[in-house]
Amino acid sequence: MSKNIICYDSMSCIRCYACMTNCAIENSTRQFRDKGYKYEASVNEPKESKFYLTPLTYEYGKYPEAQKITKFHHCNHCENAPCKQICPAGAIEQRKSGAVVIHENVCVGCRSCIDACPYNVPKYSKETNKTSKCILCHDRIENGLKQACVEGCPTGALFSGSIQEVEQEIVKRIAIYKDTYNEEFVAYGLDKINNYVGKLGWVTIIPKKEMNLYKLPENPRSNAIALRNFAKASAPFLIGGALAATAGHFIYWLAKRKEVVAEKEHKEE
Amino acid sequence: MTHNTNQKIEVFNQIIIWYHKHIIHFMIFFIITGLPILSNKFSFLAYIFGIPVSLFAGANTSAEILSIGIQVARIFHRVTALFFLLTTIPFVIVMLKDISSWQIWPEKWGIKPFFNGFSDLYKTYIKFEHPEIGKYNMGQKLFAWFIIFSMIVMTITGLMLTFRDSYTLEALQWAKSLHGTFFILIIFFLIIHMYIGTHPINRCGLKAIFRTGEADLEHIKEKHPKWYKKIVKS
Ligand code: HEM
Repeated sequence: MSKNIICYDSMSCIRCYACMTNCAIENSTRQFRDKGYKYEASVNEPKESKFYLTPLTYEYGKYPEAQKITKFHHCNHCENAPCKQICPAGAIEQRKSGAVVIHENVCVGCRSCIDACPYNVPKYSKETNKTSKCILCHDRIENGLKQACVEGCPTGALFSGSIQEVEQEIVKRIAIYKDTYNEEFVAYGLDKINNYVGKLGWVTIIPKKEMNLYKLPENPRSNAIALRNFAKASAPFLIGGALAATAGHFIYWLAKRKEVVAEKEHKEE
Repeated sequence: MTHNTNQKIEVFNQIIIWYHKHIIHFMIFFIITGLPILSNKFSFLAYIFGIPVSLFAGANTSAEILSIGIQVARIFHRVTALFFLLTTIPFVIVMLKDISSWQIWPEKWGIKPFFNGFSDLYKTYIKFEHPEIGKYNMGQKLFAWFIIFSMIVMTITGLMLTFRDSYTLEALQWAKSLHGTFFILIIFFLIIHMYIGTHPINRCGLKAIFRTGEADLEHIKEKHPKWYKKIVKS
């Protein structure tokens, strides 16, 4: 299947949170399907892993100029998936659809993915010693359905499809918003953001001036983990250099020793 | 005091010989258990750990075997750390008591002695001559400083990663990064250390650290003149 991406259009969103409710319901039924929980239990018992899409509310300014911004917190399904790169257990898969999926059955609970994620997405559960996050409803999209959040949205603020389809719609919407509000809009994640994350599988349309308020980082990366990646990338050269230098020195030493022995013999003659 | 040149001089005491032997074992365990965690290029090590354990754990797929192998590596790594600390803490206490007799400090500080140190290294390893050095040359001293510093870093960051719940995410990210980065640096210097240590020009040192702990005074006089002078003085 080709790449499938989601777009969240903050301008069309009415903050009804139907997407989040639908996501939680879908995950409840997944627990029933995949984990052998009784259906009632899987609906009733709150489990962290049900909530892959959550609201984060920020308030700015003071009354009467106060402004409330609700950010949709979720996995962005990064093209370069730093979580997948760091996972030592091979528990994170990037599917053909672009969905970055943690396979909980093989997750060892080391929390490396949490260290690497610049959006602070994966959640660790002490109870299960596993980490979980949005799976882009890969099971649904690979069977021709829309993601649960997209399906739940009554205003079309969430839409998904192939990159081309979504991109076309984004361009259309941004042109209308620009015209209507006379200000700049961005589609965060549609183009490559940086080398750490690449493009995103979850794009956000937002007024440019609200990017900071919405807390969408311009340069999402963990400097510490980037240093680790750099050290890892340099290792073959460094270690190769050490091996080559020692081997070279040994050959040099042998040659030099022959020279010295030959000289000695020459003197003795 | 007069000295017989056939006299044996203690180069390393029994505690150092014992610790050096064990640190080699610990490093082997740290490395083979750390590598598959650091990079999936070394997943084969995780499979080596995972295959026997998965026979009991009932894992079937290769993904499950890898996962078990990583879990085994993580546990072995922590057990190694425990034994490493149990060995190192008393060793450090004993060594610190005797810090004044360590010979890893510069004979003289400053820029000129530093460049002289380089020139001594050149003479020793490129010209194969015997410059005026003490017990250790500058390269050996720098290696000793590096390994002491980096093992402190590995221990602190390793303990942080072991007790994750007590630290902020940012602190853990730096701990993980420094643990991995210093690991790579340690491997780099260990390759050079092992090469020079086992090279024929260091035959006496090799024998001393692994077996007798001693060297002939004659050898010291010829190859470590500054140290010889100290011995004669005392
Ligand atoms: C007291 C000493 C040490 C402790 C407590 C310690 C502990 C740890 C812990 C908790 C991890 C994270 C693994 C996980 O649970 O996912 C780790 C990773 C690792 N350790 Fe250690 N360690 C110690 C010393 C060393 C030493 C001496 C070496 C090798 C020279 C080493 C090499 C590694 C490597 C290569 C990794 C993987 C790092 C990464 O993925 O970025 N460790 N260690």
